[in-house]
Amino acid sequence: MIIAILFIFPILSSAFLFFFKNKQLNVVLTAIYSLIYLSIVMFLVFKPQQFTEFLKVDSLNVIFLLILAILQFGISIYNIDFLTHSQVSIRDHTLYSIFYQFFVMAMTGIILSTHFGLLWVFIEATTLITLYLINFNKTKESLEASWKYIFICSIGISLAFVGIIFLSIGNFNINSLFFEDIYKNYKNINPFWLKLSFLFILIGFGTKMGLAPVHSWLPDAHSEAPSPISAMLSGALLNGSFLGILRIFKVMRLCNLDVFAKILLLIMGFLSLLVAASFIVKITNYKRMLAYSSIENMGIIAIGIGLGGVGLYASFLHLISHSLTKASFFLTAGNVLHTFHTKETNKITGILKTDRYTGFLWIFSFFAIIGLPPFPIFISEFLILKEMIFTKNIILFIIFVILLTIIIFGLGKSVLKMVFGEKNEHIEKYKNSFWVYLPQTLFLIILVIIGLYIPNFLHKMIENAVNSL
Amino acid sequence: MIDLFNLLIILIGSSMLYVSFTYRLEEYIKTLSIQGFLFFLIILLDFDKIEILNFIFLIIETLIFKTIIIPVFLSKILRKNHINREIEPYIPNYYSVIIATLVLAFGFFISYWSNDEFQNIRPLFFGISISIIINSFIIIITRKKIITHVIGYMFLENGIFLLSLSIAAEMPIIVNLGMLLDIFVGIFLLGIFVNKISSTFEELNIDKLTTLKD
Amino acid sequence: MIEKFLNILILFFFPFLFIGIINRVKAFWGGRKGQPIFQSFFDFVKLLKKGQVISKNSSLIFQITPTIYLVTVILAGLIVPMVNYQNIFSFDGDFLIFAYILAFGRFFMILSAMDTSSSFSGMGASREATYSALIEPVFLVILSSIGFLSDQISFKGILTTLQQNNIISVLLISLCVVAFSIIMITECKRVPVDDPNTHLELTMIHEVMILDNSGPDLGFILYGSYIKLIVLSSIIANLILPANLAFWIALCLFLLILILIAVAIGCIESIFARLRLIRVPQFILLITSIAILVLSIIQFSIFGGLK
Repeated sequence: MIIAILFIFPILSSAFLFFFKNKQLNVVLTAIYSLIYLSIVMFLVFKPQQFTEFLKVDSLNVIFLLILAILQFGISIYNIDFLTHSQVSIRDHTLYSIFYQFFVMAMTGIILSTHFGLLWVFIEATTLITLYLINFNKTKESLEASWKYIFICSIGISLAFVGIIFLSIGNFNINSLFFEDIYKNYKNINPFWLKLSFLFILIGFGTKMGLAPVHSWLPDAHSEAPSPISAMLSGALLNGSFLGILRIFKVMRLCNLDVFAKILLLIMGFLSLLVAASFIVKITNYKRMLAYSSIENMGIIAIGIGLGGVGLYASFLHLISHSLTKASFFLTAGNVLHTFHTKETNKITGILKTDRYTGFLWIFSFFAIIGLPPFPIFISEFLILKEMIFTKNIILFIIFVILLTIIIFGLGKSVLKMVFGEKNEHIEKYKNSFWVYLPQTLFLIILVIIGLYIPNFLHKMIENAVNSL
Repeated sequence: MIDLFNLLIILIGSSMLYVSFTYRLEEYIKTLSIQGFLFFLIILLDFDKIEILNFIFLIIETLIFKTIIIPVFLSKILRKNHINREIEPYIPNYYSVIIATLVLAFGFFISYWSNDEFQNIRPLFFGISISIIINSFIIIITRKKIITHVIGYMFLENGIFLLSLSIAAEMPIIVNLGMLLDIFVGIFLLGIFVNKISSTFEELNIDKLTTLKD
Repeated sequence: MIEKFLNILILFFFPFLFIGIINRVKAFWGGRKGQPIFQSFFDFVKLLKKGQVISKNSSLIFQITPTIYLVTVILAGLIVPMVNYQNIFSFDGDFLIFAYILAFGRFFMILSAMDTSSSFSGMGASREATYSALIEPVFLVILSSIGFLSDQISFKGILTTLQQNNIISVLLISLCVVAFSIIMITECKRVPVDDPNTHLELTMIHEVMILDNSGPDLGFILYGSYIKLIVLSSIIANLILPANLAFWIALCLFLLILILIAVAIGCIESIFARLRLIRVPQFILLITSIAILVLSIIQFSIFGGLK
C-alpha cells in the first residue's frame, strides 16, 4: 500500500504545481517528494511489499530501487540550487519540476513492475517525459539531441515490443506476461521464439541502456540535457532498461539458453567498450566524454552478466557504484559549466584555482570512475577480470584491459588538464551555493564506504539478486 | 472469408512497394491512410474473435487515429513547410522497389514456413507484418528527410500492429499495448515536435542535423 | 474450327485497324481530323511496291532479317490464344516456344542493326538488347508460376487457370494485366518507353534500328511490329476475359477489349511524354517486382494457407 504513495504523490503535487505556478512551491514540493521517496524506499528495502499484482518489490529490483532513491535524493538537493538560480520563465520552471517528479515516478514504475507489458509501458513513458527535460534549454543543439533521442529510442521501444510479441507467441500455453507466471512455466516456452524475443528485447532495451551498436542517441542527449537530468539519465534511466534485459535474461537462463544470451551480451559489452575507447580519446566536450564513459560502464555491466559466476556479483556492484559516481561526475560538470559557461574541454583550465571545491569533486569523481581504490569500481572491475582468468578467457582479459587503459587515458587527459593549470583571467572566482557541493560529497562518501567495507545488508542484497537471477 | 483477409493483408504488404517506388511525400501519407483503412476492414472481419470493448477501441484506433488524424496532421506539416518530394534518397528508388519486393517475397516465405512450423500464429499476418517492418526500416535508412523518417516510423508501427494481430490465441493485452504505442507516437507527433524542428532547422533534412557529432 | 479461322483473320488484318484506332485517338486528342483508319495498310502496300536500297557494307543478314522478323512474329501469333482461348497450335510448353520465337526475331533484328555498321543502329541495338533482357525473365516467371499453380504448362491452360471466382485470383489477374501491359509497351516500343514518331536518332530505340531498311523490307518490319501489338494485347484480353462464355459473346468481348487497348494506348501516347532514357530501365524493372510478387503469392497459395 505504501508503494501507492510513490505514484500518487507526484500526480497530486504536479496538479498542485501546475495550478499555482510558484517557484518556491516548485522547489519545496520537489524536495519533499524526494525525502518521502527516500524514506519509503528505505522502509521497502527492509520490508519488501506488494501493491496490486502489478507492482512489487522483489529481491532483484530492490537494488535498483535503492540506487534510484539515493540518486534522486541527491539530485533533488542539487535541484534546489538549479531551480532557484536558473533564469528560466516560471512556466518552464514549473514544468521542469513536474516532469522531474514524473520521471522519478516512471522510473519507479519500470523498477517495480512485474509484467513485461507494464515494464514496456513505463519505459515508453520515460522516453516521452525525458524528451521535455532534454530539450529544456531549447537551443538548436538540444532540439537536435532530443530529436535523435526520441527517434532512436522510439525505434528501440518498437523493437522491444516486437520482442514481447514474440515472447507471447512463444508462451501461448501460459497466455500471461507476468514474470512469475513465465518463470514458473518456463518449460512450456518454445525456445525458438524465446531466443528471437531475447534478441529483440536486448536490442530494444539495449538502445535505451546505451549498449554499443545502438548507443548513438546517448552522447547527444547527455551532453545537451541540464546537468541534473544528465545525472539522472546516466544513473537511473540506463539502469532501468538494464533491469528489463535482466528480466528476460532470467527466462533464458531457466530455459538453458543462457549461452546464447551471454554471447550476445558479451558482444554488445565489448562493442560498447570499443566505441567508448575510440571516441573518448579525441573528444573536446567534457559532457560528451562523460556520456561515452557511461556507454563504457554499461558495457562493463553487460560483460559482467555475460561472464556469469562472480561476474554477476561484480555487475551489480558496478551498477551501484557507476550510478553514484556518474551522477556525482555529471553534477560536478554542471558546476563547471555554471562557472566557465562552456562545454569545450580546451577552454577550461585551473578549476582548482577558480573553484577549489568543485576541483576536488571533479578529480575525486575521476578517481572513482577509473576505479582507483578505495572506490568500489576497482572491486567490480577486479572481480570481472578475475572471472575472466577463472574461465580462461585470456583474450577477453587482454582486450578488456587494453580498452580500459585507453579509456582511462582519454578521461585523464581531459580531466587533469581541466583541473590543474593557471586559472583563466577573465573568469571571476565564483562561489557556488552550498547545495551544489553536498550531493556529490554524499555520493563520494557512500562510494568510499562501499569500497572499503561493503555493508552486510548491501552484500546480502546483491547476493540475493544474483541468486534470484 | 479467409480469402478476404488474405487479400487485405497482401494489399497492405504491397502498398509498401508503392511507397518505395514514389518520390512524392503526399503519396506516402495517402498510403498510410489507406493502410489504416485496410486495418479497419481487417478488424471488422475479425469481429467474432475480439471482445466488445476492445473491438470498439480498435475501431476508433484504426478508423479515426490511423486513417484520419495522423495522415491529416502529417499533410498539414507538409503543407506548412512546403515539402512535397523526397529528393535524392541514399539509393535510387527503383533499387528500393526491387529490395522491397524481395523483402515482401521473404515475408511470403516466412508465412509459408511458419504455416508448417507453428500452430499458434496466423501465418500470412505474421509473414507480411515482418516484411512491412523490414521495409519500413529500409525506408527510414535510405531516405533523408526528417518527415520521411517519421512516416517510415508510422509504417513500422503499422507492421507491429499487424504483428500483434497475428497471434491466434486470445491476447488482448498485446493488442492494447500496440494501441498504446500508437498513442505514444501520436503524442510524439502532436507534441509539435516536427513543427519545432522545422522552425529551428531550415530544411527538414537529416543532413542538417550535424551540429552534434564527434 | 471457326475460331482458328477467325484467329488467322484477326492476326493478319486486325493490326491495321488497331494502328488506325491508335492514330485516330491521338488525332482526336490533338484536335486533328486524322489520317484514314486504314492508312497503315495503304502505307504497307505502297512500301511493298517500292524498290529498295541496300548498303554495300551490309551482308546477307541484313537482307534476310525483315523476312525472319515477320515470320517469327506470325508464328508467335499462331501460338498465342485469341478468340475463346483457342490457339492454332497448342501443346505443352508452348509459351516457352512463344518467348523464344519472339527472342529469335529480336536477335536477328539486333544483328541486322549491327550489320549496317551505322553507329546509330548499334546504339538502338544495344538498348533493345538491354530492355529485352529485362523483360524476358519476367514473362517466363509470371507464366510459369501461374502454370505451377495448376500443373498446366500450355498457354491455354495457364490463362484459363486464373479464371476462378476467388479474390486472390482477381488480385493475380490484375497484377498480371499490369505486368503484361508494361511488357507490351516495351516490346512494341510505345510511349512512355519509346516514341514511334520521334525523329531524334539519339533517343530512339526501335526506329533507329531500321533506319537503313527501305521498300518491302521496311514494310515487313512495320507489319511485323503491328502484329506484335495484336499478339501481346490478346494475351491481356484473355487474362481479363472470363472462361466458358458463349462463342459469339466471347468473340465480341475479345474484339472490344482489343479496341479498348488500342484506345488506351492512344490516350497514353497523347497524355504522357516519353521517359528520359535513363528512367526507362527503372520503369521496366517495375515489372520484375510484380513478377516476384506474383511468384510469392502463388508459392504461398500452393504451400501455405491460401486456398
